[in-house]
Amino acid sequence: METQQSQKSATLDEQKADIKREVLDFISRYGCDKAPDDAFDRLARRIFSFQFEHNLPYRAYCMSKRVTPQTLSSWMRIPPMPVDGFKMLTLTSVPENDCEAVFTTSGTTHPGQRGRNFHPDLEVWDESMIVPFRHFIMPDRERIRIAVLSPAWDMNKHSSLSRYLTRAVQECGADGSGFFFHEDGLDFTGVERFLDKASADNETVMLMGASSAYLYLLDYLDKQGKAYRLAADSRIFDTGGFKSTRTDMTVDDLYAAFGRVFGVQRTHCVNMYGMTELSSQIYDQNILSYYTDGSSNYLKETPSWVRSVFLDPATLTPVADGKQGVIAHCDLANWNSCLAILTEDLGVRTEHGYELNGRAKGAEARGCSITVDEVMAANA
Amino acid sequence: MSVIDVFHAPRDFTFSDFGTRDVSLSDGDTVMLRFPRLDASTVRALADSVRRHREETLARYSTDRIVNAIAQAVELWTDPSYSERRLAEHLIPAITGYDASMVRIELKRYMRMFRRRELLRFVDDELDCPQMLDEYRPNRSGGYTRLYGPELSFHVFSSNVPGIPVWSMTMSLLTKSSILGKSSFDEPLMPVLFARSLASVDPDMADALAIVPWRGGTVDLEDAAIGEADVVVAYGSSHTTEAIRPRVRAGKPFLSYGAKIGFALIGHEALRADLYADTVHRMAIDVATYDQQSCLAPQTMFVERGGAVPPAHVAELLACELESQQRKYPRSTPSEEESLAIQRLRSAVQMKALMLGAGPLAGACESDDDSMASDDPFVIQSRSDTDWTVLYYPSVGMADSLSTPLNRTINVVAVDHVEDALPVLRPYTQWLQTCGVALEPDRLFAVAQRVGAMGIDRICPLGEMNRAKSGWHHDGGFNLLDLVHAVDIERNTDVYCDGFDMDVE
Repeated sequence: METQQSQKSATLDEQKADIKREVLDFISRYGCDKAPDDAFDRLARRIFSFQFEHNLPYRAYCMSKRVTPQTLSSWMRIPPMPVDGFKMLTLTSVPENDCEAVFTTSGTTHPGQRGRNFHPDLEVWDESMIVPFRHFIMPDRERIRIAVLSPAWDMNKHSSLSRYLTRAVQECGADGSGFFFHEDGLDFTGVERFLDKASADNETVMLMGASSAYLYLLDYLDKQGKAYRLAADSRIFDTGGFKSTRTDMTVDDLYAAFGRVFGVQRTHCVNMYGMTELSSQIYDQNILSYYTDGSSNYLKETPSWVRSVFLDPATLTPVADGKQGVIAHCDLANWNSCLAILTEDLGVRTEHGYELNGRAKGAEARGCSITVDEVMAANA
Repeated sequence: MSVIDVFHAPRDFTFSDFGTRDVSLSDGDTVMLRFPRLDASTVRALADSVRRHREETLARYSTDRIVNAIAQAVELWTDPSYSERRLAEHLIPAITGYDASMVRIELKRYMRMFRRRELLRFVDDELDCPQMLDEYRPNRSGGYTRLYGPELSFHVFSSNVPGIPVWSMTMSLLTKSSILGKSSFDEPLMPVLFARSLASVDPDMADALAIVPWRGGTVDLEDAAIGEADVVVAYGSSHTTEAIRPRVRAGKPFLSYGAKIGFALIGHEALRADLYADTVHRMAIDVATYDQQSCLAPQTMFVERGGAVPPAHVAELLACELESQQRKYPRSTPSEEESLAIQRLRSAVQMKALMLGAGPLAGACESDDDSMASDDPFVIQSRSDTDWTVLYYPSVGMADSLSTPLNRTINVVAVDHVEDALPVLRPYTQWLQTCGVALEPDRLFAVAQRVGAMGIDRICPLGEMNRAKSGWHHDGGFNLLDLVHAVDIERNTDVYCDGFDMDVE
């Protein structure tokens, strides 16, 4: 019995090592270009088989959808795990205790219920993070002086965003970069000093942080009566949208305020779309296009190992390009949990990328009946 | 292309400016709906006009005469070839998206609720002496009482269930009130057609009515109407009614019929071998009728164990029955948000099932044993769309919410005794309304006592949840008494006044 068990775990270790190597090869071979369909399909099937074998709740879910690796016709048919699954199930191929990291969601939509994404190690995650970051955010330079408005990785080990930002600074931060977030929250005076110095040095900088963090920073700078004209090529990176913090401000308002307060134009404001449930990030292409051909493509693009599919909300089958759908991602870097996930985000694909239209709003009844979303809202 | 006016106004009132809106019919035709463009002064002028007409008609009419006029108008609707009925059957499905056969059947049932004998029920149920609406009549404390209705009532109609405006228009007319009705663009037709029926019976009386659509939340128009009216009656979502409430001056009666949740309690006695099929059919009717958009509709059904058919099988049978309802009366097309909410709930329950059952199920894949025998939550859903969804929970604690995203999405919760459902209704008190029951008679009243104390205000047969009966105290209130105010001539006033009659000894 014991030998059988150790044999089995050896198999898992071997399989795991193979899968990781193949994903890393895929990343290095195709980067942010488009990978051939058959290469993507082949690796997606490999990973699906691996997860089907070892990730038991996911296997049960796929069985309920009547999909097995043997019957799978194309990666498009891999059952996407709804994000709720990451909250309620333990979705991991490698046993939970053997995982080096677990990233959790903030639980904004349903407080008390956090989604978890298990990572046996962060080798693939780190590579998947840095390659597109360089491609979409740093097409013109190796390093840049960065101010981060969110907690660093050592403050929040369970936040994929903290890991992300820490990696960005490690890999691409120039001297003078720093994290301006302490236990009590945003370090406003620290950011102010950073901005003062950047202006004085006329040094190109990048601010990075959650979209909502900027709202607080803008309020603070407003009160201080501060406005800057940051050096050419400076950029502002935001992620996450506003979630529940403030609903009266639109993204356009925010970017207009960036122009006013930091002197950074819309062409250099860039949004990253990431999710704890994924192991990769998706980016606006405007910085890349600006430094490639001078154009401004604000549509989102995935790296070669991520494909996003837009589904009809009623039937969950793909919609035609140009029509809004709920987004499912197939992320080959998510090799341990579930490579296919079903989000609650809406988007539209066009020829040059896709537009993200935000989280689907709660449904309201047409008349005097009341829906579950309204009851939840009333009880919140 | 034919043009249909979706407004009604006194004959001597003219609008200067109109807007239109096209509706495509299932047969490929298009009709144009025409409606007046309004501003606050037009609304005030309209209010003034119907109030003046009331002085000459309704205010002078006896209650009997009004009852007869409404009854005659309603009687027209019992004729399948009646032009307005045909128009309703033709256009309402196209405007609302509801299935045509369902609209036809439900409308004809609904209109029959206002036949003469039913109207008498509305009046006599609440008033010991209905003639008090006409003149001072002796009261029980030795004096006299007369009931006065409002001069003008302003109604905000909802669009979810065609025909509901007929109820509130009828109640206002019975209290001799003129009416200014704001209809919804999502179903502007039915109140207007009913007003036309009244006009064909008594054109003078119908001049005391005005029905016009405008976009809900158009504050200047609504404030003008609220300012003119003596009573405001609002139907719709809580959002709609709560947006109006603060704008009604304190002291002015405001009746609102906002969002509600219905439940059903199904006893084991209704699941006997000879009865369960009918019970399940009735469950499906309650879920399918108007796609749960009515406040009367059920969102969770509690099914008792111990019958010939266990609750989990009832859920499966209900799924089959909903599929056949779908074939007969296809559901209207929900919005993207609604579809997503349904998908979200489906997957949440699937996840719950996986969370509870992942161990044994995963094991079963290898040993291939019968894992489905365990009593876990499950989801049964229409094949490719969100047409219908049955969410089964083996215990009351398992359901995260007793409300659903509607559109034929129903929770089935297994209970050992239907009474076990009562404690979990507590958080929903503010929304409770209808409770459909399938219980043996000696349990009916015992259960009714308890659910009544919890806030349920309507207990009805399973299968008839969407069909409130005439005389029902809508949301626990009074249909007529809430609209009128009483004037008393106190005891002895008559005797005292007799003293001024020189002929009296």
